[in-house]
Amino acid sequence: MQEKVLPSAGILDRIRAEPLFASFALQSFSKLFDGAQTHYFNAGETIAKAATPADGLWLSLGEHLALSDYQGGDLGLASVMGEEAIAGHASYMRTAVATSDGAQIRIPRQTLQDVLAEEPALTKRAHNALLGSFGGSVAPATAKIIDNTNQKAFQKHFLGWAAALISPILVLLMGSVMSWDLPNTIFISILCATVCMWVFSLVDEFVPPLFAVAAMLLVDLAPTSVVLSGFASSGLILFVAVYVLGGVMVATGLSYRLIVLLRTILPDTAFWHGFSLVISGYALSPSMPSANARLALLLPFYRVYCSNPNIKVGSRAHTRLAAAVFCGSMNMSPMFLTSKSANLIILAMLSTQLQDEFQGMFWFVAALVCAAVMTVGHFVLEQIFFAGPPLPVAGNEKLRLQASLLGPLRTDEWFALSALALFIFGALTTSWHHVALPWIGGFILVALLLYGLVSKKNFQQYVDWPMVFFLLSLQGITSTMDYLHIVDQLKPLVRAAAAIVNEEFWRVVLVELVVVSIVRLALPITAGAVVSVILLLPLAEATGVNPWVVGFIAAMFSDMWFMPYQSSNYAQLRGAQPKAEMFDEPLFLRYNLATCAVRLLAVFASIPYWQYLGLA
Amino acid sequence: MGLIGFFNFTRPRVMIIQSYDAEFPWSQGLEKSFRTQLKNFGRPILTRYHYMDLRGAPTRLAKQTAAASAIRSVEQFKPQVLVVFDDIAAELVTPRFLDRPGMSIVFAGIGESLSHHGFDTANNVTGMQESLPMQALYDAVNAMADGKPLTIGCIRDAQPNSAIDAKEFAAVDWHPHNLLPCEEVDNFPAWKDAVMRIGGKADILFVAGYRGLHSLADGDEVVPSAEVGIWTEANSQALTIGSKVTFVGDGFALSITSSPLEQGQTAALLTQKILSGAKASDIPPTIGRDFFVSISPDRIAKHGRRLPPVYEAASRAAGTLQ
Repeated sequence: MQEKVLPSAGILDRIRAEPLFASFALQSFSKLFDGAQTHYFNAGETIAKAATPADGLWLSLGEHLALSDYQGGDLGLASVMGEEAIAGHASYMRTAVATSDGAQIRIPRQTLQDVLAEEPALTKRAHNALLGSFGGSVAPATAKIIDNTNQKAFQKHFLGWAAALISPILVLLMGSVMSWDLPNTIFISILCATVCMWVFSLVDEFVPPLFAVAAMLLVDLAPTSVVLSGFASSGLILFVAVYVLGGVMVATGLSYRLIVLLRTILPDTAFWHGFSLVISGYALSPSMPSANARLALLLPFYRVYCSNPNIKVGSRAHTRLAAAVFCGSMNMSPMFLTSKSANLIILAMLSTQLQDEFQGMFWFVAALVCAAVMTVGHFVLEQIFFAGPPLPVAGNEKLRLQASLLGPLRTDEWFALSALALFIFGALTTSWHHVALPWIGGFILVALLLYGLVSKKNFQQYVDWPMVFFLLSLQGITSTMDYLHIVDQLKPLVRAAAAIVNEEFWRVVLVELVVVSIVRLALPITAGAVVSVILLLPLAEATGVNPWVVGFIAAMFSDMWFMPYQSSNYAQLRGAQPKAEMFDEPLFLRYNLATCAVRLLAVFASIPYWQYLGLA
Repeated sequence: MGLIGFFNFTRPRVMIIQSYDAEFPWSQGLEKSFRTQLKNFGRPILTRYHYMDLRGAPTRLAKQTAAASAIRSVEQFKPQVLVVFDDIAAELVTPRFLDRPGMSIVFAGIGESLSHHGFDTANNVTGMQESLPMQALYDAVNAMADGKPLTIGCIRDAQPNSAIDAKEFAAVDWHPHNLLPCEEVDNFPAWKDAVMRIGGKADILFVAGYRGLHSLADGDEVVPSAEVGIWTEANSQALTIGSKVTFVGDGFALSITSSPLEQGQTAALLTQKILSGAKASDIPPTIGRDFFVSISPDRIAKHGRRLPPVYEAASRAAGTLQ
């Protein structure tokens, strides 16, 4: 017989022993315990009835709950009932009757919801328990993979933190011995710690520059207005506006509809399938600053094309589609101001007058030759790497039905389309209305908020706020560098580089290639591009080249990758299909290597064009 | 949004092209007085400032890219009035906008002749030329001569602006003083030799230009102007005089310059007249007359010279006393 009243220790022990709550954090147990109540039931008394509100989870000390379904069918004995409250069902699907006298523990639904936020695994366990209860059997546990990577990760982290802590101290010591200027020494030591955090991936990409800003403020290295100058920049508004616009286009389904429409317009052959993936990615680029987001939108279409029974897994045709979707999402990244976060950050590092010059369509105009060469280059490489006999494809009756299923544009889609059209029109006509693009973006942002298309939650979700803080922090770092005249201290190095370049622009390109390649070995794409630009901008000043060109070339070269770990987009593409259905990876990697060569060719081919535009 | 666009489209647009950068004191003086005067216009104006950043000895590539960027900005902004400060901007930017319908050009700080820039024949140009305050320099030299004729040497770097100043300096009648021909040098080692040589025969050394000296004979690197000033003043037996806003601040002894404040203010007044309906071709260009005094009494005394107290008072009032 169970106790009439359960002691607190007993309640806690029961909660901790419950398999649903296995491996929970101590804080979660504390919350469950805090909300737990006990109720006494006599044998035969109904604890919870099917079709009544699922207001809590019932725990019994032992299998003292007799469960039955809606029709009264026996579902056996259990020690827990009420998983419906965790799984999100409004009412119980089973009836629980006490089989002996005793106190039962009840955890209210609200407490479970609070814990669910911190322990998302709970939902799946609850679903599995429900299925097992009705199915009559328990699903086999999946074999635990013994993972050695934890040990390696620990070693890397230990080394990284050691470097991040020791290197600034070494710099400070060196500075005092060699009588360096104190503010510069402190700045370099903060920078060392920041770079160590990036190189060893100790924290998320946006955290190191934020740390640098906090450290600079703490030691009063520069006035607050200098360190926090990013907050006063127009780049912040443009950043947020473009992210929200891209998010709205996805959330309303407008982007999806545009891609489906494209598929119905283009011929239904293997070549045009690849072409539609490329063009769809290109069309998304100006309004979505994240290549990962573009790829996420295109992958379902890629999978549909791959599901063609005439395309064998791992074949050239399969890999061709993989290359097409990758090319579509990545190629235009450097070509528009708003197609890559790093581009917005690079623009913010330029002088105000250069920002005015490049924030409209001129960025794309200046990148035109690169864009053309990259596009032609992809299709040429397609023929070289993935050529094969033409494949029969399914008719596009399905596509037409799919397009008609979507129906006419809804009001939300019309609004999103108008916002996009206004943004593009505004960018094309700055020479008429003279309103800077950030303010056009800001107006569109406010309009979307006022219309209600963007809720508070959407505003949090659509904008990559870590990237926003990354932008603001980097601006703070570069402003502080200007304030301390750090670059002046590097004049001998810059002079040496300028002497190598000697007004030959092709040498600037090679210097950039070397610098970016070295930086990218250690840093991820955005940080790599931005750090390269910080290092190379003084070279632009010393040689008289327009600083935008230096920034653009860094953006072009930072997209190059040779090792899969360097590209989060490649990881995303690999994760789009199970391992058994993977495309031909060695072939893809060879294709990728060739695209790096095309990228270099694109930049060299642009030199005469840039000279014609007076940029170099 | 449409209202703002319409408002912007109908607001008068003025673009200001500066030859140098925003930190350069001469450019700062021009801009400060320009902005202050323009505020009095009474109607909102859309202004944009563009800095070509061509101080020192800019390379051919730097001039090309700066010019292309400035021209693109003008074409994109389509100002009704294009204001150009200093000869570099006038040389590199204005040629394609001369006689352009719908655009007037106002110049200031120009040392070259109007015909050099095509300003004398264009129908949309007016402005204020800069002229070295030669009379004031002559008076200062006389005041230091104490009744005796002095020998005046001249040295300059190889930049075009320096040639203009040297030419103006040589055009003055320095009687009873004796003016030596101006020596042009490209690099700092040659400069040092020339300073020592001239110091042996001259009492006064007029420095027509010093901000574009290369550190080596074949290099592009430019010696910081303060380094040139400090070395020259420390080693020259002749007292250094010049006509640059940063001259005394860079280490030299005495400078009397044309006033950037007068130039900037006049440019703004002309801009306002044009925006009020006047035609640029109906406004004859003028020459600046106002000037600034900068002195370092200690450096002047080191050469055994003295100036009347009014010079020190003028320099102190201008905030340029060293």
